[in-house]
Amino acid sequence: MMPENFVGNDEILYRRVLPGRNHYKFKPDETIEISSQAFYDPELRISVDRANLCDNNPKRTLGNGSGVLSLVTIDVRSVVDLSREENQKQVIERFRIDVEPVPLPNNSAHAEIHAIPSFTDFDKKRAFKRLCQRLARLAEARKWEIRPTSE
Amino acid sequence: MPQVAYPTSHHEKMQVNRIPSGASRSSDELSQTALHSIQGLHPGTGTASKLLYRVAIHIGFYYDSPRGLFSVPGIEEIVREDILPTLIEIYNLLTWPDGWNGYNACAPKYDAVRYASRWIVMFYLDVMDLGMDWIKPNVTASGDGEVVFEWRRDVKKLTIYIGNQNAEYVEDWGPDMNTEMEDGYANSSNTRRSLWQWLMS
Repeated sequence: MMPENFVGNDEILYRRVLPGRNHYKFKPDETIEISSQAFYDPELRISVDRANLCDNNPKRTLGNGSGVLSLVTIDVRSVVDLSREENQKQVIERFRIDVEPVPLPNNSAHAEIHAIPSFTDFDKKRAFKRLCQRLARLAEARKWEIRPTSE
Repeated sequence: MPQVAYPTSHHEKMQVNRIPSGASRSSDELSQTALHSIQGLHPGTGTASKLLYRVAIHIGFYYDSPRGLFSVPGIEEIVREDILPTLIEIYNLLTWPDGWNGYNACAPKYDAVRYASRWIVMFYLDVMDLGMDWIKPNVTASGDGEVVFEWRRDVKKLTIYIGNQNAEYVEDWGPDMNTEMEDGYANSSNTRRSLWQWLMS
């Protein structure tokens, strides 16, 4: 049993993806392309649900007609080499990526993927976009927890 | 002779034909706004007309016209058929409310939508000028209300973020975020062409 105040490396994280928003696309070979925008968050902290605290039931993350994709915490924490740069690619800050529990009144499984130190609006230009690209590739490498039924 | 890809499906062409037929006032306004985005392509003496002329050359219309004459209205129709489904998708973003992604996304911004509709036409014309095939983008929005275009070709992903008066790109061709991603501004014609050449190479 995982402690509720720490997200273990082997924990599965669920992310809801709604239909009709062009965040995924069915390919002829029946695989599904995932848009990096499926992970974009204006507050730079990406909401997910901890599978362990959802009884490993992705339906608890499901919205109307949506799909549920997943990530493994250690893969997220293994995202390295994100940095803030200025003036011709001079690195002024390096980030590591973590997942922390942020339980909500109506969702005790809620957690957030975030940077340490925290991203700022400046990082929307580069680091956060790159993180979203990376998370989309990580999600594509896994099977959907709940496959969407339509685009 | 350079060929232009017409990946638009029958369904999409039907969509184009349906555009003016919305019954509601908002539908009419949406259609009109979308169509205004390509009004710059009307015949005339301005930059847009010159671009149209270049498109005509590249798609072979100038030489292949049965009348042997350059027909701007005909070119406009061709351009419209290629790009209008995308313009409609862009303007449809204005119907997305706050929280449209099931989380806390901001609604797409009107100024971003307007700029994106102009930007995509310019990008299309740049691609035509290169004599290369056009691929319809995936159109979505960022959680900040920007318009986002995405293209994917094999392992390459090109993502464009359009804000109020600004376009930024991310090129992604692998998992290494230092050596397999690039980003920058995509406001100039030269940059847009380079991006397309990278995607299609």
